[in-house]
Amino acid sequence: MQIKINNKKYAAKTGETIFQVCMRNGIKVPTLCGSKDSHEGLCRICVVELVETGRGGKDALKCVSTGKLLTSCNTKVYAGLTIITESENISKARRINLELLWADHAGKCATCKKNQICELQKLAQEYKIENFHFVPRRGEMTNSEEQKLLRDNWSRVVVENENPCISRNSEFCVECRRCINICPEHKFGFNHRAGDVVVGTPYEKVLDCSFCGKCVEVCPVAALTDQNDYAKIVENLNDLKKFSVAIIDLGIEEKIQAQLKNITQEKNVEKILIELGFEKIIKFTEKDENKEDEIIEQIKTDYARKEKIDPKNICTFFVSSKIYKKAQKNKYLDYVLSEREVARLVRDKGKIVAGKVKR
Amino acid sequence: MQKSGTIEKILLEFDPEAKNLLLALKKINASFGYISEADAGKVADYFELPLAKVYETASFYDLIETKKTANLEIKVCSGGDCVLGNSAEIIREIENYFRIKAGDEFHPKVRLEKISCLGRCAEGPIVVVNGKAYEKVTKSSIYEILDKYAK
Amino acid sequence: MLNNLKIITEHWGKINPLRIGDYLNVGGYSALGKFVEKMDPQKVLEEVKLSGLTGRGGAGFSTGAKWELVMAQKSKEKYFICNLDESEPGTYKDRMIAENCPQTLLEGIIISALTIGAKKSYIYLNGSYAKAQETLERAIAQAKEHKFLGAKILDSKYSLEIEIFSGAGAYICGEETALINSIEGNRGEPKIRPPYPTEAGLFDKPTVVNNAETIANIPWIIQNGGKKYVKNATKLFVLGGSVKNRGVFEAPIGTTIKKAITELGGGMQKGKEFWFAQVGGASGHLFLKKELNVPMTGSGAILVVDKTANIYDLLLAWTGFFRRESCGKCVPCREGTFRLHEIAERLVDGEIAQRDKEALEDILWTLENTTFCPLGKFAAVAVRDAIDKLGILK
Repeated sequence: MQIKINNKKYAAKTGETIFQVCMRNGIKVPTLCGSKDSHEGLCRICVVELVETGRGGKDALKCVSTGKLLTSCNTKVYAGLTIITESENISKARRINLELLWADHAGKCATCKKNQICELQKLAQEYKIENFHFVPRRGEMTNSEEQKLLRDNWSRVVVENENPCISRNSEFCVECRRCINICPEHKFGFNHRAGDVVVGTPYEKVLDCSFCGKCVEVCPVAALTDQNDYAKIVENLNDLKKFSVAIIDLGIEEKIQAQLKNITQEKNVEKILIELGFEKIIKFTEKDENKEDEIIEQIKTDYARKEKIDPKNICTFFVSSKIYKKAQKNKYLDYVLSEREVARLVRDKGKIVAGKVKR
Repeated sequence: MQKSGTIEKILLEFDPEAKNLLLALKKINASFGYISEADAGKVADYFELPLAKVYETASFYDLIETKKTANLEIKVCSGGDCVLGNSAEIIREIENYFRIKAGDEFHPKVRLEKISCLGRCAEGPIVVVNGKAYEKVTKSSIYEILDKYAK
Repeated sequence: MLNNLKIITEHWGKINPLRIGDYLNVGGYSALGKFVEKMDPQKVLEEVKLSGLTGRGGAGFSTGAKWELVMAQKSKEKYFICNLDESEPGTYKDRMIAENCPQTLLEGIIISALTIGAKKSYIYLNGSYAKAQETLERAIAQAKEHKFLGAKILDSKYSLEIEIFSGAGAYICGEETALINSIEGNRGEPKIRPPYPTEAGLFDKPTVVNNAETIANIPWIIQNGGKKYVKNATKLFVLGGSVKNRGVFEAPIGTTIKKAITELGGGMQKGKEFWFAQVGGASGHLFLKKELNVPMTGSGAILVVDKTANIYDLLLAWTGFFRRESCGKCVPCREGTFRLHEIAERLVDGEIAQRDKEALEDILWTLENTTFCPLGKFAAVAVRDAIDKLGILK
C-alpha cells in the first residue's frame, strides 16, 4: 500500500507501524520508550500529526480529525494514511511531555552514572528542556514545602543494591517498560497505579535472576545500572603501585565503541584502556571460549610468577557483557566491567588524547 | 473477614486460566484481607504466571491490598456531592482526632484515605470504616463513629 | 415531575426485584418471547437502528451501528458485555436499574447478546455495588429456572451464558478496552485502537460493550417497535448537590439541563443561590445560569453547585480524583494529573504563582491533546471551565 509522509508517497506493508516505515526511509522520529522489543506508545515522544483522514466507509466508528497526534511506534499503517513528522503541535507535545519527565530529573545530571550517556538527557538537550516548570527550585520553596516535596518524592522511590550485579534506583525511572518487556524471566512488573506507579520486582523483593543484563542494556536512564564499587575501581586504576589487567571478552570491543560514540573519537579500545590506567590487556579469542575462568586465574598465578609481580598488587578486570560474573568474583577476579562502565570511566577521565600511550 | 478455607481451596474454584487471575485475587483478598507474598506465590504457581504479573495486577486495583491493612482503615468519599456536603471538614476532624494526615502511612494503627465516588451520593457524605459504610456523616457525628473504634 | 412515558423506571418501587414472578406479572420477558418466536437478529437490528438508540454511558455512539459492525464479523465466537462499572462520580443510575428491576436489564442483555451472535455475556459490575450483585445474581438464577437463559432458551436454538464480573475498584475500567483487559485478568489499562473491540475485543474476538442503561431500553423497543421509540426516547438523570430532590429520574431525551434542575430536581434548596452546574460527573463541563437552556448531554449526572460552595475544595476533589484514577502508563496523564493536583493543593484561595499559571496551561494542553486514551481529556475539562467561566485564578 501507499502512505504519505511529509507530502511524499512511500510504500508500506499491512501490519507495519508508521515508525517502521519512517526508519526504513531514513525519516528521523525521536523516541524514549521505544526499542526493538518495546514500543507501547507510552512516552508520546514519537508522535506524528495526522493531516487528513485516509479511510471511511465501513470503518464508520473512526472519527479522526485533522491535527490529531498519533504515536508512530504503535499505530499501524493503512492505505491513504497521511501524516507529517514535524509541526508546531508535535514540538509542543514533545517539549511538554519531556518537561514533565524532567520535573523528577532536573538537577541530577552532574552526579549521575549515565551523565552524557543518557537518552533522556540527550532528548532534553535537543529540545532545550532546562526549566523547573513543574517543580519549584530549592530557593523558591519554604522549608516545610521543601520537606513535603522531598518526602513525597522519596515515598515513591525504590532503591535496591542488595543483589551483586544490577543496581536499581527508581528515582531515575521514566516508566518506559523496556526492562519489563525484555526480561526473559519476567522479573519486573508495572506496579501500582497513576503517579504511584513503580517499575520493579513484586513485593519489592531483592532481584534474584540469572543476571543476563538485558535490562541494564536497554534502560535509557540510570534506573538500572551495573553494580560496582566505582570509586574503588578508579582508585585502583590511578594507583601506580597496582598492576591493573584487563581481560577483554569476545565481542565487547564493538559494544564499547558504540557506547563511546558521543564521548570520544578514539576507536582503538586497547589504547583507551591503557589511557584509563590498565597496564596489561589480554584479548580473548574464539578458542578461549569455555576457558574464561582458567585464563583469568592464570593472571594472579602463572603470569604473576613469570613477570615477578606480587599477586597482591595485581587487579584483574574482566571486561565483558556477562554481568552475571559479578556474582562470581573471587580471589582471582576482582572486577567485571561492562561496556557501559568502561564508557563511564572514559567520560570521567576527560579527553582521551589520540596518539598518547603510557607504558 | 470470613475465611472460606485455605487459599488452595479458593484457587480450586477457578480453572487455572490467566483470565481468572483477577477473580481469584478478589476472592483471596475478601477472605484474608490482603494478598501476602506467600499467597501471591501460590497464585502464580497455580495460574502458571510470573509472580511479577500477579503482583502488578493485584497492586493496580483499589479493592485488592498487597500488604496487611492497618487496624483502623478510614476512607472518606471525595466525590463532588460529598464535597458539597462538607466532606473536607470531616477529613480535617479525623486528621486532628488522630494527629495524622490523609494519605500518610506514618501512624502504626490508623490509615486515612480519600477515595473515589461510591455511587451513594444521595446518602452522603459517606465514610467507610473498616469496610462498613456510614451515611450522612457530619463533622460532629464523625466523633461518635471514631470513638467506637478508637478504643 | 415530567409526565413522560417511563420506559426504564416503569416498575421501580412497584415490584419486588427479588421475585421474577412480579416481573412476569407485568408482562416481563414477553419481549424475549417475541424475539424467539417471531423475530430474528436482522429484524432486531432493524428495529434498534430505527429507534435511533445511542449509548447512555456518556459517549453516545449509535447502538445499532455498533451491533451491525459485530454482526458483520465472520468469527463464530463473539461477546456481549454490559458495562455496569459506573464509576463516574455522581452517577448511580445503573446501580438503581440493577437494584430496582434487574430483570429489565437482564432481558435486554439476553436479546442483545443473541442478536449479535454471542453465546457468552458478561456484566462488568462496579466492585463496590454489593446489593446490585445480589439482585442480579438472583435474577440470573431465576431466569435460568424459567429457561430464559442457558441452553435452548424457551426451547429454541438459542443459548446464552451470563457471568457477573465484579470489578476491583478502578475508574478507568469503565473505558471499554480497559474493561476488556480487566476481564482478561490484566491491569485495567486501555488498549490501542484500532483494532476496535467490535473487530477484536474480549479475547481478541468481536465484542459489543454497551452501557447498562442503553440495554435496559431494548425490551421496550422490541415490544413496541423502534419507530415508536423515537418519539418516546428517555434518559436517566441523576440530580445531586443543592437541589430539593436528589436522586434518579427518567425524562425525555431532549430535556434541557434547566428543566432537569427545576422540574426533576425541584429547583434550589431554600436559601441557596445557583452558581453553576457540572454536567456529566467529575469529567463534566460547567454550565453557568445563562447556559442551562441546552439539551442534556453526557452520562446523566447533574451536580448543582450553589454560591456557598468552596470552589477550591471542589477543584481539589476533581484533580484528586484523576490523580488517583489515571492508569499510569502514559507520560502526559500520569505526570499531568499528578502535577495538576499538586497545583490545586497550592491553589488554596486563588492566589497562583506565575510559574504555576504557565505550568497549568501546558498541563491542560498536553492532557487534552497527547494522552493514550480519553481520560486525559476528561481530567482537563472541569479545570479548564473553572478557569474560563468561574474566574478562579486571581
